[in-house]
Amino acid sequence: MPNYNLGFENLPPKLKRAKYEVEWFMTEVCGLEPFFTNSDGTKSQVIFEMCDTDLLYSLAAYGGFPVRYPHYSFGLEYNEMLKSHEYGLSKIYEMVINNNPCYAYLLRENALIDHKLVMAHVYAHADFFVNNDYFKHTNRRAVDMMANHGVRIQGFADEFGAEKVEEWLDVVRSLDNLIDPDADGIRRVAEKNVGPLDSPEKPKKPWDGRLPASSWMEDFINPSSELEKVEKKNEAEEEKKVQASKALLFPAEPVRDVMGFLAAYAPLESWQREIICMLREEALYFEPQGRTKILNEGWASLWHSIGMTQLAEASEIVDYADHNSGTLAISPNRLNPYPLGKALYLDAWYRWDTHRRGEIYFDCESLEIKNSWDPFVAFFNIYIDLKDEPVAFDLAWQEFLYFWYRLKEGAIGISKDFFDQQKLLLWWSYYLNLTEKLGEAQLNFLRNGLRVGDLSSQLKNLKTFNRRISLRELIDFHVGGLKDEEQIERVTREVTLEPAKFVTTSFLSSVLTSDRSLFDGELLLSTEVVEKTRLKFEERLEYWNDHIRLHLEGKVKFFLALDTIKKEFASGCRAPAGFFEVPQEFFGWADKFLDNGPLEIGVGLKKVFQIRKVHCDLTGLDELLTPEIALKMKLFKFDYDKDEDQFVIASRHFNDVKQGLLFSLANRRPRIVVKDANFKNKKILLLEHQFPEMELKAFEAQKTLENLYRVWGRPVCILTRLDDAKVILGYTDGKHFIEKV
Amino acid sequence: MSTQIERDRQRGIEIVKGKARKNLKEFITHGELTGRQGRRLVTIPVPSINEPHFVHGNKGNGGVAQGEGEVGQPIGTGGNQGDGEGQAGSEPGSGHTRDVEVSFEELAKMLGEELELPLLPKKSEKIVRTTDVYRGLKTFGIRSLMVPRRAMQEAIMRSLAEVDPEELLSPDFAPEDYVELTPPDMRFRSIKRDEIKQASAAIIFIMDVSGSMGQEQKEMVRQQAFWMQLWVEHAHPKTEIRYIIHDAVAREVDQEAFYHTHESGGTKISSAYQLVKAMITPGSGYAFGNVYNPNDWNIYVFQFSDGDNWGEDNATCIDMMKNDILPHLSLFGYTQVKSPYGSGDYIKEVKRLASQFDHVRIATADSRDEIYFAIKKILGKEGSKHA
Repeated sequence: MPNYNLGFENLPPKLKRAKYEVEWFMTEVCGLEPFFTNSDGTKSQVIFEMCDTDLLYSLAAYGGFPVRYPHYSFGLEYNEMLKSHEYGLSKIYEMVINNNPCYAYLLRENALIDHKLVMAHVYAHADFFVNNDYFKHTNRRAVDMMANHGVRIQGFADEFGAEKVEEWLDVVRSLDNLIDPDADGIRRVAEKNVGPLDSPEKPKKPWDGRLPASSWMEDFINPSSELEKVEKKNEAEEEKKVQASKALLFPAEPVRDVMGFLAAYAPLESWQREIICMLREEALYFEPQGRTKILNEGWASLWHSIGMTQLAEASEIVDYADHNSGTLAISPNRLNPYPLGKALYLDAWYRWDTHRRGEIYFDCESLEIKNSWDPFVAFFNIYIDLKDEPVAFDLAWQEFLYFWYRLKEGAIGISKDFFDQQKLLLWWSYYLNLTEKLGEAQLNFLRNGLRVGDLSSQLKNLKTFNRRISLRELIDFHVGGLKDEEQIERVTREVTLEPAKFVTTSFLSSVLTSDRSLFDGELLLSTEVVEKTRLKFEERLEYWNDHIRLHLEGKVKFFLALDTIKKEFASGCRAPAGFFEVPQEFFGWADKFLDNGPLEIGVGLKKVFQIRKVHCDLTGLDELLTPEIALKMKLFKFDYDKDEDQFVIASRHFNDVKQGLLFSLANRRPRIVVKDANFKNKKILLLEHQFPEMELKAFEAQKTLENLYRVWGRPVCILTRLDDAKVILGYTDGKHFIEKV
Repeated sequence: MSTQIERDRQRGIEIVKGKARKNLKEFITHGELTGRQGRRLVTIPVPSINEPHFVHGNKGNGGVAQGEGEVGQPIGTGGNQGDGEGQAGSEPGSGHTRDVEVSFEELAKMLGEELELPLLPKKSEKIVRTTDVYRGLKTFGIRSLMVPRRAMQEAIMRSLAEVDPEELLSPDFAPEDYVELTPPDMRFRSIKRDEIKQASAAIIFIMDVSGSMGQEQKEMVRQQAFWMQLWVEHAHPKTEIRYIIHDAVAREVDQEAFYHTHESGGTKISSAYQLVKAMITPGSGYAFGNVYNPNDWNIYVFQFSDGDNWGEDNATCIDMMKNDILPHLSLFGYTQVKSPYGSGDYIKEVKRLASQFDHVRIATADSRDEIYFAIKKILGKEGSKHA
């Protein structure tokens, strides 16, 4: 076993700090949840491991896992990657594995800014793994699983011969895409109904093929030969059902999980069977990552962009931008999932913030409304509430105008020249709930300030308080400076829930701020201990001062600025006359949609989190791809030109592009099922390639059939389409055959 | 460094090389000999060794990609495009070939195994290098080479041998009283001269560049010459290569000119033989390069011709070969390539020679596919049977 020191502890202090910084930002500010909750209630970690190039590439060859089963293809993969790295053609920036806890690898030769970028990226990936529904059923003990498989298969190799096992692995690997990707999530085979006759409805009689016709047309419209055909077909169907019920037709329903089927029914030795099961399990584990490539990478790119623009030092920002642009570049004639995914999220965020969606937006043909969409949305929401009270309506509208006017004038620190309307509605939604938002920000400021990291666990050893501090005292200490009642209540609740934590944090803050009101005279800590603790956290505190405080303070200040606008308005300030005239179209268009209720604004963030939870690439693109994104991402559809033997750009039309994209995502792999395991009553295995709009690569399919034959031991064939004709491709003992159907 | 990946890598390389060996025949006839100059490595393309899967073909179906371009603009030829990330989220394309790098040594070994070539005889060996090493001891020498430890041992052995045995066994025997270092005990390191012998070889390529040899023929010659040179170099690490082209007159050229000169006019093979003779006859006064003494050098002459010769010249050629050239050669290989103008009769003359001399080998190469057999005939066992 190679000696991997997988752990957080082996990071150099500089990187530990960076990790801490990034983690804080990603979880507290961005709201990501990259940690698994274990059964005992503790949270997992994201663990970073420093690697040299060799190790990193060997891990990459093994799909990120330290131990896999022995197979030469990993070695070749490694060779190739290492070579392309040496020639400077490619570089692995990040690698993260979906595991509890999440492991991620950092390349030692990278600069600090690269590490930060990778960390930010990795936290977002981890969040995606933890929260996306398609990953729900994946094995979260993947590192263990892979290692177990490795040991097991190595054991087989020792017992039965390395070459024999390698050969078998070749065979099984060639079939490893024949899985049911939803096997873990969906129960496909209905459980057999063995109860008494509890289905009173009689089976429907099949249609006898007779079309309605007048008696004198009967012979022409329903000739007896046609009717006979239908009758025969019905009989065949009936026969099939009977056979299925007698278990003569096997499997009774087509089975999509071909590997599982083979493992269960093929005549194999137990070690062979076991290898099939193991590889199937691994294929199922990797499946969701292939399915969510665009959304997953997009999610990570989105958050690393947001994070890094905040976290990078001034001296690092150019390097960051350089590397970021490399990752997000549109490489010609390829589809880069990073920028596409990111664009999807950003677009959804913006559209859900400003309600640029639904009929009210898409059906609107008035250019005047579309050009001033943001005020229209604000107008609509006020109008729907107060349209019967002209005075109140005017006041509310004036308030919006004044808010808008003040923002433009630079009330929140963005000068006139740089103000753009993109976030107007988001901020308006903040303005509408200002009290709540301000309270939240202040509380966050307070809590994070006191926490300064997870001090509670670090300070567990310092149990030298010589008296119990009462809960009341503790609460008073924390609530001391607060005025807002809601906040006081919130802090009180938090302190009550986790008093131990707050004791230690307040202790530390009192040490550091020399505010001894709580502990004065009561504490028997030696100055030495205090000094030690102080040194230990100095670095973090420094960071707190530099970044976190600034950030949180900025937030509070922002809401305070909005508050000022509110106060100004209350004291009678108004936007200058003629700042924005309400166009007449507003009323007409608003009247049409009064039944819809107020328009949601400022819910973009919620929406992107929802997307990362429920969508995979296929569904996500279906819902979110808009013509604007297609244009911006320069998407095009290409087709194969048979005459010229080359691919040409076929279309840039949105519908074609979207259809093409969805088509290729839906057909990532052919959908192949076991149709009949006793075909022609000769124990021939018949697979069926369902929905064969795209044809199989005939040569590869034949090679695969050879491997399938090795497993099944009897003739195997597949029903598919070749050169636009339905055929059965088959293989038996050294011979390929093709039958036309 | 993980040992596991190293093991998998070794196994992978083994498998790829096995594949390369299988494809050697194809490579011999059609391969691009990249890396021939400079690095002594050859890159052999090996077809994909990925496991086959049921996958959708990419021809006939498009996909979606990003980038600039007008509708109708071509973006790539069939086969390459559509692989990889062309199809969103799909695994990397599986149709690509792998390149495996093989050193000349290994390539020669593979060639030998594939064609079942016998080892080339080494006629004469020459001292190419001498090295002086300290080996053994002697009883005289200079002080700086003295070995005190051995000298002391000798002294002890000699002195104690002279002592009365009874005295030796007595309890208060003190050796230091008896041992005495004298000049005959001295030992010195001795220098020996090692001679490293190597068979030196010279290859002389002769090619007819008269109008009847076309570009395709030249390419075939180049291909064949590479493999023969490889095999000779494998047997004789120190090999010199000379090139002669001729039409009605012959001259020595460098490699570049050898493969690219195109002349017209008649053909007189004897002119080339004249040059060869000058090259292998010491004291011939040949001024354009080394002259090889047949006693020290293994000389290989490989001739490529389309078989055309000026009729009256044939007799001269055979005469020269018999008397002046063949007795001094290790191997003479004659390859007749088919030119657009048909093949000449010179091969008949050479066949007559072959019946007299064992080391004359004859091959014909009408197309690229036959290079493989031509090499085998000239260097292999079949060639000797043929003779």
